[in-house]
This record gives sequence, C-alpha cells and structure tokens, in this order.
Amino acid sequence: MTTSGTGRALSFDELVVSTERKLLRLGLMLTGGVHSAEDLVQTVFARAHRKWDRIQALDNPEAYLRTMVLNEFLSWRRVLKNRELPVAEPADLPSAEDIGARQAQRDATWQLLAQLPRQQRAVLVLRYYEDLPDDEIAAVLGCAPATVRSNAARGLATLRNNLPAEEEH
Amino acid sequence: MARLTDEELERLLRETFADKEELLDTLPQATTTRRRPVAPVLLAAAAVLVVLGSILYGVNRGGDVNPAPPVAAAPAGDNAEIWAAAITAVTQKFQPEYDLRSVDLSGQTFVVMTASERTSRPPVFTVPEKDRIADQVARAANVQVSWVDGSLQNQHCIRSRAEVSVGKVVDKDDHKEVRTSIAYNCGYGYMLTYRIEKSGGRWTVTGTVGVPEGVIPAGCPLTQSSPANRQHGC
Repeated sequence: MTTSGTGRALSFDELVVSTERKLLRLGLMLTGGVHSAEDLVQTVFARAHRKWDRIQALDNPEAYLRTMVLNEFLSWRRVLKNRELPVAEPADLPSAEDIGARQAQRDATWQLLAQLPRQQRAVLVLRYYEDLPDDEIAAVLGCAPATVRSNAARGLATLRNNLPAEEEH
Repeated sequence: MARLTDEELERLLRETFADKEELLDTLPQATTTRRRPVAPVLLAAAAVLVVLGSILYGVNRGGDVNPAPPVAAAPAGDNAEIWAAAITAVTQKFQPEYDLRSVDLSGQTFVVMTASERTSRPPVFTVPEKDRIADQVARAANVQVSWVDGSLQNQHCIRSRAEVSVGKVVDKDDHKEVRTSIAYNCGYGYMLTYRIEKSGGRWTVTGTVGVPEGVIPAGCPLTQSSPANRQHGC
C-alpha cells in the first residue's frame, strides 16, 4: 500500500495515525469500556509493529488491523473470563438519573450488549456499527454466513426479550 | 405494550453505538501528525561534535595534564528514559478522567520479591535518573512530579494526585518491559506491564503485556455510572 498519490510506502506511524481513532471506536463498541478499548488497540498496534514488514505489503493494512482487533477481543475476553481478574476500570454503564426514555433505552441496550456472548456482540457491532454485510462479517470472523445470521438472530432476540418496548404516544 | 420489531431494534442499536462514540472524547489523541522540528536535531549534532572535539583535544594533550577525578555523576542512561515512558503512559491513562495534576514517584523500584531477592535491597534510582525521569514526565504529561522515599502511602487524599511506582527494566532482546502501578482517586489501583521499544532514537510505549489488574476501595460498587454520578468516595 502507498500513501495516496505519492507512490511512497506507508509507514507504521502513518498507519497508526490514520487508523487509531477508528480502531478505538471499534474497540469501544466491542469491549464496552474506553480503557479496555485503549488496551485492546495498544496490544494490536504492538503486534502489528512486530510484523510490520508483512502488513506493509498488504493491499489493505487497515482492514487487517480491524481483523486483528476483533481476534484480539475474542481471545482476550476468553482470557479475562478464565482468570476472573477484577480490573479497576469504571464501566461505562447507564446512570439511574437519565430521564429521557429514549436515552434510557439506549443505555439499557448498551448494558445488555455487554452481557451478550462475545461472538454475538461482535456480529452486532460489525453489522450495525460497521455496516458490513453478513458475508463480509463471516470472512472477518472466519465462520459461515449462516453462523453470522444465527448469532445475530440470537443476539437480537436476547435484546428484544430484555428491553422495554417504546411507549406508544 | 408491544415488543420491539426488528426494524426498531436495528434503529435502536445504531443509535446506541452512535451515542456511545462520544465516550472516546475523554481520551487524548495518542499520536499526532506534527512535523519534527529540525533545530533540536542540529543542536544535538553540534553538541556531539563539541564533545568529540573535547575528547580529541584531551587525548592529544597526553601526559601534559594531571588526571583529575570525575566531578559529574554518571549519566542517567536509557533506563531513566524507559521508566519515564512507562510513568508518562500510566499517568496519561488516568489524567483526563481524574484531572491528575501531580504525581508522586517512589524512590525505589518495586519488585515482586522472590526468596532469593529478599536478601537484597530493591534497586534505588540514582540522582541523575530521578532528575531525568521527573523532567521527562513533567514535560510529557504536564504534571508536577515529586520523589517520595520509602513507602508511597499518603495520609492525605487528594484526588488530583496519583502515586506511581515502576519495577526494574526487563530486557526482552528486541524490547523492554516495565511493571507499572498507579494509585489514584483515593484508593483505586491499577497495575500493568508496558512493552517499550526504541523507535527513532526514543523509547516509546508500544503496548501492554498480559492482563492489567486493578483494585477498588472496599464498599465501592464494581460497576459505576458517569463520574458525576459516582457514589461519594468511590
């Protein structure tokens, strides 16, 4: 990959600058916390730095980093779950003082998302935040499109069963 | 009351993700695109030439001079810069949320003591190392830095002050690792290991190693709402 129009090879620093915020946003949606997202993306950048020679030669290093973030999230959550280590990170959960019904519903959704199995959450984030089609999500996660659809359906069903309906006006 | 339809649920999810994006606004931009100024590089090159010239001058004078004991202390070395990078990183991690304005640093490196290590004292920072770390952290994180000898246990709780300790610099061939801990917000703690690499002549934090650990004060809930709504003392 080259920087636009110059024909010059993309440097690692340039890739970090251009992708950092985007990856942090994806990390936030996956982990549900700002500091967790930061740790996730830092870890991915460190790994990417070690194999920069290979990543640099790819057509789309940014997409590769996105896949790294997803894979890191899936394995990382597994580690956390196994070790049961408490982390002194204030979770970004809704407050009881939110008065807008719609805002309360969004907060409830955010809270429920955090409780979904990581595969289901990843699928919902890629589908409704990254706006990826199911076959692309399947390619990123390394599974069949049918698996993506079933994970999405299960995730949506959990949300629907636990969310209060919108008030009818 | 009807349950949400697929369409309503999808719209709600999109709104939720868009709504939560703003949580990232609390994070500082970790990287910038500014160009590095040329003047400091030229100045550094000139300084190297002056030092080399002085050495050559001294060598050529041979036996004409009486050797005098060195007056200046040993240079701080790379370790000071590595420690400073770790302290800066952990400070900046919590600075935006807790408005950290001063940092106390322990005068000794902390170590998880093994049986063989218990017989020896933990390493102590040299004065040049302390000066260089304090200067670098103060400039990079824009905080007031103080060195505290012995235990880092403040009697007075000040929310804008954090206490930071670092472990020995562990050499991993292609990079270094430093165990780092911070006590902040009157009772909270966070411990992690930073991976630090030399890039462009400077030691830079490039990631973390393993899973961070943390502690919260007894009686505080594990999950909390926004900082404005936190339970008093938590």
